[in-house]
Amino acid sequence: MTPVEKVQDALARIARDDGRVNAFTAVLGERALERAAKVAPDAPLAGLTFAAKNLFDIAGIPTVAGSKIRRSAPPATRDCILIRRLEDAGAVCLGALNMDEFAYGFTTENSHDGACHNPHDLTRIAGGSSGGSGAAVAAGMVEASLGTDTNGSIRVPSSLNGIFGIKPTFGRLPRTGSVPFVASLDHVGPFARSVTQLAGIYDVLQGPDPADACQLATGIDPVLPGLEGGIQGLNIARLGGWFEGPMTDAARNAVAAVAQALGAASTVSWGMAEATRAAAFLITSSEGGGLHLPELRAAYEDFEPLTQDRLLAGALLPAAWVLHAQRVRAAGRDAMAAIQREFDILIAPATPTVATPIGQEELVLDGVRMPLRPSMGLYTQPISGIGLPVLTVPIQNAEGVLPIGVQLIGRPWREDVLFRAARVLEASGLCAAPVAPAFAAPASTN
Amino acid sequence: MLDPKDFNAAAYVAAVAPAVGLRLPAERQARVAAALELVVKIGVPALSCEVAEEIEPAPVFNPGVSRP
Repeated sequence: MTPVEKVQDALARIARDDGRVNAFTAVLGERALERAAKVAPDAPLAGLTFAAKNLFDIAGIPTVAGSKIRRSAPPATRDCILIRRLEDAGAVCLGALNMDEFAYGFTTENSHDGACHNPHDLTRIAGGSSGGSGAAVAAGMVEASLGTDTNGSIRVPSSLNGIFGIKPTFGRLPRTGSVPFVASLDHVGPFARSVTQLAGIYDVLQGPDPADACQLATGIDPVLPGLEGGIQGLNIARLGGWFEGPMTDAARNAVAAVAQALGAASTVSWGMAEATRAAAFLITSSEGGGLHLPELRAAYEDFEPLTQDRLLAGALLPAAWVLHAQRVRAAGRDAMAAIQREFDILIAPATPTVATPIGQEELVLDGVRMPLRPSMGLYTQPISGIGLPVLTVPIQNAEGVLPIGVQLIGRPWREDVLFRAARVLEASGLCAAPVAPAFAAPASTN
Repeated sequence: MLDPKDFNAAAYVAAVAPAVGLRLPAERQARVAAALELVVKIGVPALSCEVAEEIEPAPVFNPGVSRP
């Protein structure tokens, strides 16, 4: 198909399917068709359809970040840098995607825009906070999407929607033109249904941006050229200890299958995992609440009901706790570095369970009762807390029709190794991300 | 560093909220105190974690690009 035909097909799918999924909060058909008509046929991502979590600036519409209070903000005057890079490479942005308000959540049960529904079972959550980004790709409405990950918000939707997602090393990709949540922990990254496509997108997104004072990467480390490099010579292990905590059989079996496929015979334990997760939780509470303190003072009732009290509590945390948490985080990083001197890749569950019913408040795992919303990040939060790159790979039909993801965790700045391993898993047939069966029919047949 | 049993979330919220400009009615204070108790419960493994004096906080302030 030509880029224009691909965009027309995507728009038809969105028109047919998004009423059931609620992944999109803005569809930009006219803009997309105009841009598609100008795509150079030899562009690296020619005609690739994508959409972006609605905390990324898209010229002409307010960047609402899932909130009510930003709906009256002036429209963005230009696209964020990641959208510009994708469109410069020939991709076409179709619109903005549903999310947890201000990225604070793991379920995308957004009270302002409505819950986002999982394409594999519409009664269940799509995960969050980049839930729309996961669901739009899993439902085949777009080929790829952009999301953010502070404590798991790329990895959780990747897992629950059964698609590939990369949370790069902290500081790898520029955050310019996105609404922040927790500056100390915010990452940005893409989702896609194939490893090769994800690699091509990731490479285009790379590159320094002087406007982002937090970006650490100074160059580009492309992953696509070495994608078929295999895993020979890599030392791969499972993460034990904290990462063998409460979870469903689906999560446990998925980790075991990936470990076996990658030849991970040993299990290593990172003793700082729980403390690092706790540190990330404290930092998130404090920075998230502090960021929004002016609006909380003015009208906290205008915030998402699910997070009002959490934001208010976070804004009150003692400074000593948060400063201590930042030091714990550094200690956690140092302890992990000692483990990673020996291992190239560590394997861990992405979520403790498959997608849960919309509205569910609690999880009971291995006899342990816990609040559902923070617990979805049990196994992602410690890793983003120390900024390591993670590629989430999907296992389909892990529990009935529902998929689940597994984290491939790398050394800092070694996303290339993760892409090679993910490609091996994809080529083996163990990991795949087809469009969810209920949405697989071509748009023109309905 | 912190024993959750010694932390009175309700009293803390009542005392600190006005200090940061938050005027919360009693019912809201109670809900915020409950949220704070959950933060403390999850945060305790970090708050009780001893770290060596030489461990520096993780964030790095970037002073900007040098332009000779």
